[in-house]
Amino acid sequence: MTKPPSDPATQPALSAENEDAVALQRALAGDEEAFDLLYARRAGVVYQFALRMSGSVTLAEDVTQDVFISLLRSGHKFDPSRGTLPQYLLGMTRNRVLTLLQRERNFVPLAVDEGEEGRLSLERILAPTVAQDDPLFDLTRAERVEAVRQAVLALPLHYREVVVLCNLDELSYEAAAQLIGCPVGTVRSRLNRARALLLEKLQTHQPAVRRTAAVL
Amino acid sequence: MKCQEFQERLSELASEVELEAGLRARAEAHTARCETCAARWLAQRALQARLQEFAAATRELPAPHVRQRLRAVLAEQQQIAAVPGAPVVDLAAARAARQASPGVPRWGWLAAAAMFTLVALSLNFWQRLTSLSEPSSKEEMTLAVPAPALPALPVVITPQLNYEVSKPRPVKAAVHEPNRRLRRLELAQVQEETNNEFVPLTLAVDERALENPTLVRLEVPRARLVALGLPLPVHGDREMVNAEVMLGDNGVAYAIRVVR
Repeated sequence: MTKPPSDPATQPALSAENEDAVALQRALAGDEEAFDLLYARRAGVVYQFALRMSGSVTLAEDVTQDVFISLLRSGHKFDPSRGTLPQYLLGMTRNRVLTLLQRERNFVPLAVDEGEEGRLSLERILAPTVAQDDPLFDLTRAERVEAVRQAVLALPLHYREVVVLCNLDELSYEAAAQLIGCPVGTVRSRLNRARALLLEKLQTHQPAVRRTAAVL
Repeated sequence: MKCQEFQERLSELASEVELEAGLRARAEAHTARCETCAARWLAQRALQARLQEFAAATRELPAPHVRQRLRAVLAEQQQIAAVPGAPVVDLAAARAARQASPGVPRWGWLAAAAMFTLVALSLNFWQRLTSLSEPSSKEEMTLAVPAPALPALPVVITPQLNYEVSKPRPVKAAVHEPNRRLRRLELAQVQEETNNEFVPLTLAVDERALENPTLVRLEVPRARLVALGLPLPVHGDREMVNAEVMLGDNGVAYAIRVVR
């Protein structure tokens, strides 16, 4: 006895790509629920890439807003056969971030002290995951994270983006190469060089961390 | 595996994201023999751990006001969609429409732009070419007109004129005077004073009257010539000087010159 075709159990689950395409189509038609779903699924990727590339909360928020506004106004240009929606969004985000960084030629490094507008505070870094009852652990981890952030932001843009895409956003080499528009070998060589620079930078920072821990 | 290949694949080995079959085993075998590469692999693994820690600490979402701003844009989209007859965006239909009737292809627009540019350049070239055959400026047109010059005149003596006409006194007639040296000086002075250029007697020149002018030779007092404006010395103004006057067809004296 076969199950009726209307049974949801028999219908194949929509893939993530199809879900994105359907949600986008409904959002373009003005469906608020579809937009909320799309935003909840994909805004994090956009925002995190912009934040890691720029080090500025303000810039990352502006980029996220710009990218989704562009998606709402010209989302009909998205072609699922050419790639997934996250790749499409990441491509727009990358272009927007590089444009702003090239234009401004500066970035706001994260500050450890609290209260500065547009900067990611220490508490925001530690709040989601760190236990609050171990201040030494908090401080040491915070300093490590801050050191990595500064080291990443100190990289040249073409090295920084491969580190962010491949090591932080966990994209494959092929996906990163397609996004950047270069061969896979170029991504690999840039990543090698970028990691060597990061290591050099972090090794010079390491003695400061040890001194801080010793004081406490 | 050699050190160079190990170096090239180090980031992959440390991140363990994309490891082809057998790569890890070959890398471990190499690091067992090469302490330098083993140390590098260890350092890269530590770096990878710190990067993962950093990634975990920065998995954040944008602030709520970003969503609020985007909702305003969405509301605008809804207003457009609510208007009767407003186009509802259908991704599949839009794609099919693009494939079925692509409209004017891109190369068509480029060809039209190229043709327009060619026509504009041709017109500009043609205008420049035609302007070369015409006078380029008013100044050139002005300079092309030659300055009016007094025509070469035949020497004719007409007795019906009212001017004193006398035979020119030869210079040698004064030689018999006792002060020959002084006279020679005077003669030299007179010769220096004379010139062959006509001096205009009036600015109102009638070119038609001067088409067939008459030249009259006569003897006039030096003082009269000085009064007319000829550049002659004032002393000896009572002395008579030979002169030629240019008369037009209308009888008007237009110019005069002193002759030897």
